[in-house]
Amino acid sequence: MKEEIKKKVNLTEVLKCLEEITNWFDSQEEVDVEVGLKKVKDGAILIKAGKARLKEVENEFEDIKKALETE
Amino acid sequence: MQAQKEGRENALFVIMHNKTLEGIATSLPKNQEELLGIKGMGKRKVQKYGAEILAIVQVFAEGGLQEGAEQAFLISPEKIEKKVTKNKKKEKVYSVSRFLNLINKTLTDKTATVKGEVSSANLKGHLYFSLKDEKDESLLNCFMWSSDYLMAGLELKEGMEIKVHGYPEVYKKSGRLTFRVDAMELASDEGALKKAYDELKNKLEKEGLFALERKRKLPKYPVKIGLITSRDGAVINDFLNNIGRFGYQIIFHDSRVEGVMAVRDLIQAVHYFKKRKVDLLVMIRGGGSLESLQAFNNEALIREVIDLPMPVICGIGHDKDEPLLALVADRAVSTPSIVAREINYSWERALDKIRTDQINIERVFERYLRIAQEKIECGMLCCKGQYEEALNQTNAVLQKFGKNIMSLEYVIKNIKSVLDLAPKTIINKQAREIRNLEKKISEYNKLINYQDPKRQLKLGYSLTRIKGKVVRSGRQVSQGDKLEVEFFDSKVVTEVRKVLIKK
Repeated sequence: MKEEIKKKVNLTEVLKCLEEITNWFDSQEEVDVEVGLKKVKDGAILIKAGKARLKEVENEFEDIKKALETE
Repeated sequence: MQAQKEGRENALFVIMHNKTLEGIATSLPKNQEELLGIKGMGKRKVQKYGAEILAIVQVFAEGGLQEGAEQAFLISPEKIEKKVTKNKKKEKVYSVSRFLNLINKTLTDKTATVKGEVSSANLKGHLYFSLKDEKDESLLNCFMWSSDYLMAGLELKEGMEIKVHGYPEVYKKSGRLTFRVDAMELASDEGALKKAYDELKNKLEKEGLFALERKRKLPKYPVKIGLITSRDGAVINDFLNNIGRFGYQIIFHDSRVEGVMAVRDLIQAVHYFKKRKVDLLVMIRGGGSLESLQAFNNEALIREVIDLPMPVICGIGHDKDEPLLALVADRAVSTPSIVAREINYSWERALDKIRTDQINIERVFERYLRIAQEKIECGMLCCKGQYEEALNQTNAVLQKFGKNIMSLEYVIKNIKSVLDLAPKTIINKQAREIRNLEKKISEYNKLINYQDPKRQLKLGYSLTRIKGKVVRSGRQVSQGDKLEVEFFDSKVVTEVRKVLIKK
């Protein structure tokens, strides 16, 4: 999962996966603890990656913003 | 003095020019021969004034001038008279031959036309004949060169009345006076002339000399024109007044056209033109009787004219019988003015044609001009229309272009404003998006944390497993089973003593 997320590094995809995870939890009448635990772990990885990517985006964005402001 | 005797005023001036007098004074002639050698001294003058002039010269040469006198006319008249008398007394003695020469020299000038009846005629190489006076039977011996006789075109017979032209001469060997005839013609009445005319006409006609086939066409646009007529007649003026001004070169040859000498002159004139390159030969004369027109019925002349290399046009007036020369000529009309008109004809036609052509050319040119003008006008209208259309189109295009430019300008402005605003918008959007994302991620984090089973354990819940499997119901276990209970921070293994099932 980690590698997949690293490869993607696409926030939309990350969000999509996270939505799928939350939807999975919502759809379970009786949560399989083991599976749920795994999903949580995946979600935690996704969130971490998402945040990291978001940070990168934010940094890039800041650079662009500065460039635009100086023009 | 002689002149004064003759009663002539200003005698010296009238008799001779100063140059002649100067010639006499310079050469001082001693005799009549020397005097004759001076320019201005002719036979007549020498005859009349020679003796006196020679006397004056003689006195002058002997130093006979009056005292103090420097001019010849101041020589004493008496001296001159004496000299003249003396000179006259010196009569010259001639030999027979020289005397006859002198006579013949004088007689040569005595040309005359003599009319008489042929009394004897003898053609021995040349023609010897006598003319007899019809009244007193006076006789004149005549001689004629055979060439002249042939030229006269007459067959001389005894009893024939003729006119001869010539001069007297003393034949030195016989001492007889002979009339040397150079031309002759019939002097008979109209009847005889008519007979001769008819005979020759028949003869020539038989030879085909009047045939139309042998007549040459008058050249078109003649330039060099030979003219034979009498200088003194009225016809030459008639001709010259009527000949047009077309740049003609008229070569004139004077000829008598009537009388005994006419044939001779005419033939000489024809000979003259035979050797010259003229486009056309004109022979003209005024009207007259058969007798006066005899020369133009002369066979020798007719044959000479036939032999000419250029066309001949005759304008000889006549009453009844057309002159035979006119019949053989290439063209014959009755008057010199008509001859002139005939010659002018081709030129006048050419001139008319030029005028007509000029008018036609002008007309055609005007028509072409008009057509061209119409075309130009039409073209101009067309061009104007097309130009206006093009102008309108151009204007429309320009307007459209203007509009487009304006639109483009507007678009550019829009784009510019968009671009100007874009950074802010994008930044805002992106910032908002990032915030949203953060929010979302945070929400997902909360949700996932909320779902985390370990969170439940922290709250005091625990997970019971039997042989590794989560126990969800008491019915899964039995007394004596060993259970693994997981807490938040530890695991406990326990044994089931009793199973109580809720109802």
